[in-house]
Amino acid sequence: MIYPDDKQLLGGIADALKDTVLPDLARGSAARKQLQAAIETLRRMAFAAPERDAALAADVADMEGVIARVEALLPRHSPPPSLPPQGGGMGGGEIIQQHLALQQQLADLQAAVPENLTAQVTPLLTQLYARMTDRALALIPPPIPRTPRTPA
Amino acid sequence: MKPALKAPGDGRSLTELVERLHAFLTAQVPEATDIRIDTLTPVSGGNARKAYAFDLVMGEKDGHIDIPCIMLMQAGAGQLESDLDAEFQVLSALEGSGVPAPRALWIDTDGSGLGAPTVIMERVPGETDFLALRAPEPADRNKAIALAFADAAARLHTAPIDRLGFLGSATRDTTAARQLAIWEAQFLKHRMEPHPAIAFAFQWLKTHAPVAERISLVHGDYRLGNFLFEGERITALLDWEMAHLGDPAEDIAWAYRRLWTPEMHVPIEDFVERYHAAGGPTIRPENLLFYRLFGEIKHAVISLTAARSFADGRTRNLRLADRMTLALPCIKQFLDWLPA
Repeated sequence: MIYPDDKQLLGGIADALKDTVLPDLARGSAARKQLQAAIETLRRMAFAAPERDAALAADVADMEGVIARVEALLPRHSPPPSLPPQGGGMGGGEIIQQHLALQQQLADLQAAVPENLTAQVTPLLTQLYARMTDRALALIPPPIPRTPRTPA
Repeated sequence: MKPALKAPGDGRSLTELVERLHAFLTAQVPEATDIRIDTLTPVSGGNARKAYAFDLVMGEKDGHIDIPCIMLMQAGAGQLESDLDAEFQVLSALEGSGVPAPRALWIDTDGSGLGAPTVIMERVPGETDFLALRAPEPADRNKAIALAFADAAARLHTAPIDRLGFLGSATRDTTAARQLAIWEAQFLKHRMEPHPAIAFAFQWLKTHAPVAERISLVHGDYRLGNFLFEGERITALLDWEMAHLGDPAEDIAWAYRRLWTPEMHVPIEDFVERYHAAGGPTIRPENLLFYRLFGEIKHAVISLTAARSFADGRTRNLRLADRMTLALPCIKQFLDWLPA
């Protein structure tokens, strides 16, 4: 089963909650704040769903390229033992596992750059991180304009 | 029978809370008679705390006194691992210092009296509405408050620190490294993936840590929204949970983060000028830039800590569920500001 896809489901649930449940909750109430946060998260996930794998794949290719260029600059790079990520991660999905492994490889690699190569390596890393951050930011929808409060 | 009113989010009734509060205050002030708690009302307390306002009326030998109070109760895990006890001690130490801060009254450190670790402090008049302070109008009022905020910073950063030894030691040479160590440890503990960009940021900051002009009491969350104002006057600085001894430039840099900056009313250069005119320690541009970069990474770590709290089920606050999305603009800003 492919449809309804994540965008349709998550976006639809967010819209339904906004239209059918939110109006019944008092402004400023804890329940309303919880529901608003849930709607915003569902909306964000729906917006990101169709493009997420492509963005992760682009990150993977980008990280691989930069790692190769940095390694070529290092005399004899022997990476320190990798620490596992501290949290549970998201699990599943080859692209996610690849992304996580490359993130760790980058973290190890940048920690091993000798001082005399910092000037050469730093721009490669910062430009990579800027591109990755831009890709992630592109998956966040613009905020919903707040409706002005009306007197009760 | 009417159902009891519930305290938001935890199933505890307000009636039960009033009873607990009464018993707690009776133990804290044994000489008082006729203790009465009036109009206990939930108020906004941020993401990690529940806040209640009430009026405490009690009899003493000279008659009755009425103390407007605010009670902050820890509400599960949140964005920070906060230390209420240190916050209480900071507020106690500030009494009489001239720094606008609420008077700390009582603390239930382990929550044995009130059901959760709690601080009770004097309720100070004023409002916190930071959106109003960032609005274009009233421009004169908002500018005046931003400048008063600079004056308050100058008073805070020149306040005596001899009673603040419980915050640990800090030296001009090592304070930046100490803050980095604290926040890097937080990052390593709570991250859910390697985040090489944040790891890189810590690495860069560690090699560029400046010497502080002096060691001051640093608020740690010095920004619009964390103080009460009335008219054009700041009545109290709030939320002292990140207070520490350190470089005063840290607070100025934090105050001008994009999320809450008063830049539209007072450019940062004018703020620093006013701060210096009010007697604040010298803020060197290199220290300010360092702490602006540090602030972005600190906020990224706060966001990932919040997200981890939710992912682990230690909080049910849905505002924290997707907080990692707020870390991304921080990383972006750090990279944009990084000197070539």
